[in-house]
Amino acid sequence: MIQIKDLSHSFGKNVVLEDVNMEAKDASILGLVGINGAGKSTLLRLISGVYVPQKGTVTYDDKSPLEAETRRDIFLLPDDPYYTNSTTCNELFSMYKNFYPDINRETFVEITNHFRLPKNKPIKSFSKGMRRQVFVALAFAVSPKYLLLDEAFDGLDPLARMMFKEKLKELIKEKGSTVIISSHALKELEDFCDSYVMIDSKHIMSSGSMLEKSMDLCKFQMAFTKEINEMTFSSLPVKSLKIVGRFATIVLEGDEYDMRAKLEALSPAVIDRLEVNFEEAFIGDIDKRIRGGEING
Amino acid sequence: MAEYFIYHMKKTVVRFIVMALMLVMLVNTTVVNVYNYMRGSQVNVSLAIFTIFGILAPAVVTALEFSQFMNRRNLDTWFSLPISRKDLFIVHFVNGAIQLTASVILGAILAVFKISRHPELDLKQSIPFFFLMIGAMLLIYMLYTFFFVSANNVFDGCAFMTGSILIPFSVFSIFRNFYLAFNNKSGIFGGYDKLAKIPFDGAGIFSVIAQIGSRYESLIEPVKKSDVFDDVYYESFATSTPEISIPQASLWTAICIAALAGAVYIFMTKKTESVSGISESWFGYRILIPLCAGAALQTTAMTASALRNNDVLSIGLSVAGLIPAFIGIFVAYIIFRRGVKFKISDLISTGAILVFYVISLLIFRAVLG
Repeated sequence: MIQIKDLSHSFGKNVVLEDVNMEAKDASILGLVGINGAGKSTLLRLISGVYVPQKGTVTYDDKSPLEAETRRDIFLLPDDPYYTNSTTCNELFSMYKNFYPDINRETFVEITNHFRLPKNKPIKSFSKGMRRQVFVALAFAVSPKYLLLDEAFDGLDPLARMMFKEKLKELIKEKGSTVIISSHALKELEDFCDSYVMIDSKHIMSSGSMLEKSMDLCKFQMAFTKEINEMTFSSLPVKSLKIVGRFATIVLEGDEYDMRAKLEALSPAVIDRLEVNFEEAFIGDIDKRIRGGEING
Repeated sequence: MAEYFIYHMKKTVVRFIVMALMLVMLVNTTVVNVYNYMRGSQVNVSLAIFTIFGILAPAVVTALEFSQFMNRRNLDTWFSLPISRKDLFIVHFVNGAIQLTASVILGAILAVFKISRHPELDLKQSIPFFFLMIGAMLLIYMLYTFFFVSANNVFDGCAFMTGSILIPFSVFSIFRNFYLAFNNKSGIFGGYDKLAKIPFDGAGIFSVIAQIGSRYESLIEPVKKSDVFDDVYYESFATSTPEISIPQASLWTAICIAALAGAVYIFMTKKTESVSGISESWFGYRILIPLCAGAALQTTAMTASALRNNDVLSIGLSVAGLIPAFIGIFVAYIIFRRGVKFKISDLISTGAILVFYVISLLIFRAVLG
């Protein structure tokens, strides 16, 4: 289990993370979400031992990632990993074999073959997506106990994403690995992450089960015979609202039946329930914070 | 660590081959030269290429070995791998040291072979030269490594390595100027004989390698060489051979070993997040800029003060010297800060240089004027 206690970190006077407490359970996938500059990558660097925490601790079953021995069980796939101008797939594998002696060549070859990646061409000449595929192949070949992925889906095509998700599920099933994945592609996270941590304004804004987060919300589409505006819904716990003429699409926080009853009290001509996804929950939370900031400001 | 060390050696073998080949080619063309004259021939031996290699090659090797740790993007990978920073440092430092040593050994083998083809040359005296040269080169490598890893990016690393030459030179220059002014009333145009008694000079560790070079260069001159014009036989140059200053060599050996320990410490404790940013090290621009500027201005003050009976020229030179110096300081701080966002400490430092200049000027005018 990865445990983070009272973690704070700043760059000069710029506080990036403050009193972060969280844990990632064994054999699970934790999604790390947040807007640009929220501190996701910094948190991953602190978790992987790249940064030394200025305050607080990160432990892997009570062991510090600052010890090289602990990092034998950790693999960080950064947003922009290291390779030289001449590094090829095979050379990259050879380099990582020095650090992860149990790295599986068969897995690496299988994935790189699947994506038809040239083995002896410099990675530098690859497209962004292809480069990502090489490092994803490497991550699965290492098959670590703790896999930390920064913007893992960035540049991957839908087929690659699908394979990636399947491989992650296999890794967890077979090795009981713990995966922390940060991504902007929130829709990609919701169908395979067990839990999430949402970072915003230096703190963990919310965390918990992905499913529960989505279930806390309900989404409706309505048509009205009368004129409507934002004030029409001001008494409701609105997460997001879109009004086009007399049509409104609204995401509300709370029990679906209670919310439906409250909306019906507004006398819509038609009301339909829609599926709510994690991205809407995330956007709703961030939007609420920004609006709150504007009001307070 | 052993696996990565072997991997890294293999990965950098091309660099070693290029470096060694360059040295071997230069050794082949410069070490032994035979000049044929009408009445005979003269053999000249020059081992200067080893001295030049011993100063320049460690700088190149240091930059190549450690530049990949000067990029924050790379460090996400390097520092998350299961290898300690200390082991990473050792692998890269030792690999560089081996490549430098092996290059000199290859060059030395060729040099010995070429010298041995001339029985009139005293071959055996060249052997300690190569050992001492390797030692001095590795000391320089330690010093360069310290300055390079003190920086946060490759450009600053190279600038700081240059600082390893400029810092001792500036310190010595400031000391020399005061020493000459107070010990010789005739000013800057004499008194070097007294100064020469001091066993330390401004070239620092480079002086040590130069002393080794010049001492052994003479020793392997032909012991029985025919002077083509006067038919004089030289028995040996041993009596006129420059000595290696043992106190100077000892001091710089200690400094370089301390520098290596410092380099390991800096590498192990450096904040990853500061890499690729501005280099705030005290062993870099913070010391380098005021020290070099101070030394340059102090020399101007001394020169101006020494121009007696000509106050117009003296004062004019004193003031005119400030302009290029402060333009230089301004440019240096722009390079340091990557822009014109100077910090208060930079302004204080610049003010301190000015105060030092004025005090130096007053002292020199009182002593020399």
